[in-house]
Amino acid sequence: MKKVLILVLIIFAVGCAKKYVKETGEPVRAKPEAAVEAPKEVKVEEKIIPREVAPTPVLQAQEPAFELKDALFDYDKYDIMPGARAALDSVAAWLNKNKNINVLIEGHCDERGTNEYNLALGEKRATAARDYLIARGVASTKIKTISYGEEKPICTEQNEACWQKNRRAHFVVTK
Amino acid sequence: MRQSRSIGKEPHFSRIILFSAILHFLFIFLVVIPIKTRQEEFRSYRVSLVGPIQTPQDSRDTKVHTAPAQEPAKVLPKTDMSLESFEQVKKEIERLHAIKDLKESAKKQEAVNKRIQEIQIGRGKGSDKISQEPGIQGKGTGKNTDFYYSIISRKIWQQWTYPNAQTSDLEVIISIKIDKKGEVVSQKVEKSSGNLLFDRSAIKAISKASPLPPPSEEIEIGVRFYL
Amino acid sequence: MNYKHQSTDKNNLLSISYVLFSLVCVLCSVLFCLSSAHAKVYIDITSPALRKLPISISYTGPEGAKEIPEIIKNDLDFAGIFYLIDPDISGAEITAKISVETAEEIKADVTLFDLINNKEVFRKKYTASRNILRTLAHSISDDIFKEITGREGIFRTKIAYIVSSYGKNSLHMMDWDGYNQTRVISSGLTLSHIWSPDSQYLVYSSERNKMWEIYSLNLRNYREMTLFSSKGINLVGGISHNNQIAFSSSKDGSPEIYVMNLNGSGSKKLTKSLGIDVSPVFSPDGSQIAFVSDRGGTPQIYIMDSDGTRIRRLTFEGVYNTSPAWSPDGKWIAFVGRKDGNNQIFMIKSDSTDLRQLTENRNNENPTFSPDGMFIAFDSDRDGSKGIYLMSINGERQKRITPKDIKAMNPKWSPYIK
Repeated sequence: MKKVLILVLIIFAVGCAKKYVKETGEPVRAKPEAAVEAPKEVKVEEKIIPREVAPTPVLQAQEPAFELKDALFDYDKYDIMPGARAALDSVAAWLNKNKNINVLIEGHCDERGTNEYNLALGEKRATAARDYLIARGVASTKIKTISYGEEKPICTEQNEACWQKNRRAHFVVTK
Repeated sequence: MRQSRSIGKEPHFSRIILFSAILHFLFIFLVVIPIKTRQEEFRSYRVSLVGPIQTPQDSRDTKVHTAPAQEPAKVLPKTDMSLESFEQVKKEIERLHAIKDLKESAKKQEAVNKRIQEIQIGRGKGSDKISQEPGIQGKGTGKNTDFYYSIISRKIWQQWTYPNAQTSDLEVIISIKIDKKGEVVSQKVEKSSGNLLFDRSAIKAISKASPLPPPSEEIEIGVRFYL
Repeated sequence: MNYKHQSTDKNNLLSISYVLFSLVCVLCSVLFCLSSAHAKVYIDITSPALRKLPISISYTGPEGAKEIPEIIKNDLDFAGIFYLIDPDISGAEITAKISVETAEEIKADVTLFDLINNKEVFRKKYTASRNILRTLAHSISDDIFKEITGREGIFRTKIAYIVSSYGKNSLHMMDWDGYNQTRVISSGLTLSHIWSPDSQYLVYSSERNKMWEIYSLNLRNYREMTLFSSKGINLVGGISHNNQIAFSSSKDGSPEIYVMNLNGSGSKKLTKSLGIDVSPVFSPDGSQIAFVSDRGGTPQIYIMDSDGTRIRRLTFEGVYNTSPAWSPDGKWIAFVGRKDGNNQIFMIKSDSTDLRQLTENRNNENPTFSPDGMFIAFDSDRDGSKGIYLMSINGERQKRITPKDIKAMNPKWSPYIK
């Protein structure tokens, strides 16, 4: 109520402006503020904050080459499709056989949603794949998840075939 | 028993006063207030400017409308706040009744619309044509006052431009005094819209529309511009 | 005894009667006065003709500074209320005369003249070093705009945005008109970002070393600070006028809405749901937060009080509504809705009424309001690669401001630059 009163008073104050145009006085010498000048490229120090060891990608294949297939998802969904089970089962089996291998699960989306929501959706997909692997006996300490939303697509055509490929949980072997 | 035996005039007098007060109260709450609230509906002349101008005026008006039409012009916002007698209140009631009649006659408009079309056809000649219209000249021509208001509304509206289509819910009220020659001799923002550009567009419209057709006598009105 | 009693009674009755009577008289006169006061006639006028203000800009000065009037003309033309007239032709109601001298510094002398009332409106002198010529021109536009409309101009405001190339997203900044594009942050993959209310900080979320964290950059000294770090995804959403940051974090499993101070302290969890709660934005008065949630089955926009209570749904049409942005006057929320397979920008009143569609060409996302609430910047792929576009809030005059050879997205319009 108070706010309304103040607002009303201000409106009246404005309305009481008598002169239609301002009479000029002395010419004013005004320096425009530098404001937000074009900032130079920033060299930002990467702060290493003490936390769990960040997993590093494997550079050479020390284990027999094994293709970890992507688990695919339905449009706007993050539940495990029947078709994805085969891929996930084989990943689980392989991880259980190679006990010293860790894996990073990346969640991805196709470009059709909006960036922030897709980041959350991708995370849900990665988490769903992770839970499935844990249920198949993989130790939770071997699995890390991350999401990239729609920011790292593997194809860019505007058709369902490409979109389906992008809606994936992708497995990266880490040490 | 003893108390009821009155001595002298005093008790009678007080009873009369009391009685009078009660009657006054009854009168106010049963008669004046209902009429007053009805009068408030009539306060502003809504002139629709998309299409034919509608006025609450009937060409058959008699001089009973003279008094109410002139009263608005004469009575300024500042009024003497001293005690009024019952007689003046009674006159006020009569006036309000007259205005009530005026409002009812607003339902019959055909003759008026016809006249407007005549004016529109002759609009190229400007205010000369309008001032020749019967009723606008001279005093006591209250019957055409509402007609006059619609003419000046239109004149101001025709000069009103605003550059911004997307803002809405804006309203500014400009108080203007029109002298006998039709010149707008004073204008002030009675209620600002809060938007400087909008307020200025209203003032500009009035400036461009001046001189207006001369009224029967100097009047002060409010012009409400709104989106 | 009795006699005295009697006379007291009489007196009481008398005084009561007098009081009542005077009350009545006052009432009558008040009524009379009120009704007389109401006797002033008011006439109503609406539907003005839509006509822009004709303005002409004339320039005297060196060729090298000719950009200045061109920038001013571009600014005023975009504002949507001016109609630019060549100074040699008559018809202008206002004219701006700009006279420039250049040496090491630029000196501009600007006169604004009202041709209707034949009055000089203002005369101002400006000085600036050559490298901020555009800022100088925008300052002149702001002053002209303010003089005529009474409102602050947006011509010195900036737009922060993301440029995406080869899987890397870097944070950039440019003038409102697309000039002076500069990279601000290039490490990591930056996605969401916001301006602090005083334009001193950019707060953003970047993925570095497989972690999504929230950082702030001080634009005066370019010092970066980590504000929030945890497992899961931390995405900044919005900031209130009193520097409360709203963000989403999935540190506890599912992404929920949190608030914290500008220095990263005092984080508080506001929502608790099994699904996705993201993209929180404060209302301009800081009392409410709009956000995206799929708690109803599909992603929709909800509004809650800024303490997390009174959650109510805002959008009911369509099955995918995300990316809310609050208008500076608090009345509207712009958002992205999916329609016929594409993302479009809509606007809806904060009481869920008056839904309007503003775009229809291909995919249009990430709306952000200009600080005066008259324009919206957004990204669109209508011309192939994604770029930043501007439009007025009724959807008109949509135009691209980033070049076609870069992929630019997620714009955020700065507050007024002081």
